[in-house]
Amino acid sequence: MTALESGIRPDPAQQPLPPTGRSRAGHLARVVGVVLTSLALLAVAVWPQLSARFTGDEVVLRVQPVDPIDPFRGAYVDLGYPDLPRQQFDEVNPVTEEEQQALDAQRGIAYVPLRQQGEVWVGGEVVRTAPADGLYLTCDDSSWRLRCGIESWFLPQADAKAFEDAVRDGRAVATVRVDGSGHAALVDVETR
Amino acid sequence: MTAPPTIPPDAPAGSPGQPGQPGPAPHAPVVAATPGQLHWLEGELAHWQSEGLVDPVAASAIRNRYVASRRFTLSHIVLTLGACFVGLGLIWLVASNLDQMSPLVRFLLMVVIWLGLIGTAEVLAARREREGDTSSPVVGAVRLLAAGAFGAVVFQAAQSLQVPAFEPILVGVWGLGAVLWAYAVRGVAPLVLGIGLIAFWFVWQVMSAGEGAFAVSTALAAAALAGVSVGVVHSMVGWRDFALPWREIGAALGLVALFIAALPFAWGEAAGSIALWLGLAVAGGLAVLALARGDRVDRFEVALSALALALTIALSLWRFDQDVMDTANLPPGAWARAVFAVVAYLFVASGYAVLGGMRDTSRLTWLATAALVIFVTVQAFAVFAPIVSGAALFLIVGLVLIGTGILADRGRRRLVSETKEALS
Repeated sequence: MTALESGIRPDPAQQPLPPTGRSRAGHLARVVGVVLTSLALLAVAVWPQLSARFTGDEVVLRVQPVDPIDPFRGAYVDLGYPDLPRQQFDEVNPVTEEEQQALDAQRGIAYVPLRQQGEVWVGGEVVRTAPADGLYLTCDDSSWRLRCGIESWFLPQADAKAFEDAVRDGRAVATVRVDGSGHAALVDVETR
Repeated sequence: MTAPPTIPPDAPAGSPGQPGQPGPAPHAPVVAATPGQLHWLEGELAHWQSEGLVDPVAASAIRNRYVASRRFTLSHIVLTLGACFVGLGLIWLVASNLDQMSPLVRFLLMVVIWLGLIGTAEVLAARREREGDTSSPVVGAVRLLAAGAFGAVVFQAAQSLQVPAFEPILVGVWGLGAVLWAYAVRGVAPLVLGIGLIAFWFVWQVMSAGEGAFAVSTALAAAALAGVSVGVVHSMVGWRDFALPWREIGAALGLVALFIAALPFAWGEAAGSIALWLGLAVAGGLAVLALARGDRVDRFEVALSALALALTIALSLWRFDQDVMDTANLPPGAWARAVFAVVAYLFVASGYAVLGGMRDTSRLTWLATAALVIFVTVQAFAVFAPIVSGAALFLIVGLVLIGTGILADRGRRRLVSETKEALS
């Protein structure tokens, strides 16, 4: 290292001038590439909902609400689905510790077959392989609750409390679109 | 802020801005330097010319490679703060869920704002480039704002599609987008934002798997090791401006991880999700690469971060039955753990302070010093109070630091005397 290199130590927060002339086009190509890549990453992150919205079939599920806030995205109603399985804690048929450990080891991707029951759809027992036919939800049961990508209904904060009160009596239903891979997107929630 | 080239009044002919003098070589990059650095250069150039080491033409060519710039000025600070506020405001705008517009319109509005900021930043950068302004704070602020606006795009898309709340991958995508943008335009501010977001995403991803404190502190320490290693790799390939944020954020994360692990609570077992094990593997791989290719100081830095990770894991797994504050009769294990934690933190924080000296970066030294002060204070008042008085801990740590300083100074004096002997 020369005396100049060690002594002058150019401000590391700065950098040489950007390229000029011909390489300016390369620079612009990089910026455009970043924009497109960022949009592609975004599409991947929201793919289950995007796919379900555009290619899915519509089903109606009963819901029950809880009301929190996401600091990045605002007020939402956290929805529970009484007609989808809640296999985590079965108080009626308690399992032994060994059985519970075996169940815990299986947790991860969970498929919930759907069948129509009157005006609404209900879920069957969780299975670990995707059903060959019929509509089903692709969920995740590795945490404390079954997550199928339809647990949050975002709405203006001023409306959240009133909405929660309106659906608390259990007459609310969610309109959900489900694609062929079990991805689900919440389209609407209404009281009946 | 890029000021006009600042040259001392007694600067020799050929200073930048003086007519009729040679400019930088056609392909030599113009580099920003602080006024203090330029002042030093002027003095050295005058000496070199008087000693005949360089002729006036070469001195002028050297001088013209540098342009005066201050790292932190009022305009830098105000513009950066403004960009942060506007970025947060945009995200808050998303959170307010303006139902006067349809979800698709809201998303498109955010995309237009984001692309508009990118375009504005590029136009401004091109204009500054033509003017020879290497480090415009306005361009930096707009680039930071564009990186922030991408977060608003991500969250608006998720909100419009009713993606479930608290989804860590959204923060990960935002961070990745900010980092890509930073590398495309060589912008330091978007890089700092991106590194912070990616670290936040990684820890959140690990936490969302429902793991305990072991996983959280280990994830932080793994992110720290990865950050430091990536910083070293940047130094090796000559991207010094990008090495600094990686290394310094890595150091901060390592100190935070060890701080958390040192708290005397009943920590969890070595249980972690795939994200944690994958993160550890990636951090290990990057560390091996940095150790293999870096110089002596690089290896010291990576080894220090790896040591912080090892100590974090050790402390996270060191369990005992009671919380320290629950009983006056502490088991020997609690004693041993508390002493080990203090010694470990002292060692790692001192290592970072030393590294700051070796790298000549005062920020790292101040970071380590602040971390050490906070750590000792918390341990003294919240942890050690039932064991020994807080005063005793301060006295012990203070005496250890003074002793270390005396030993280091003795080593320095011995080195100086040996060098003198060798030269004579």
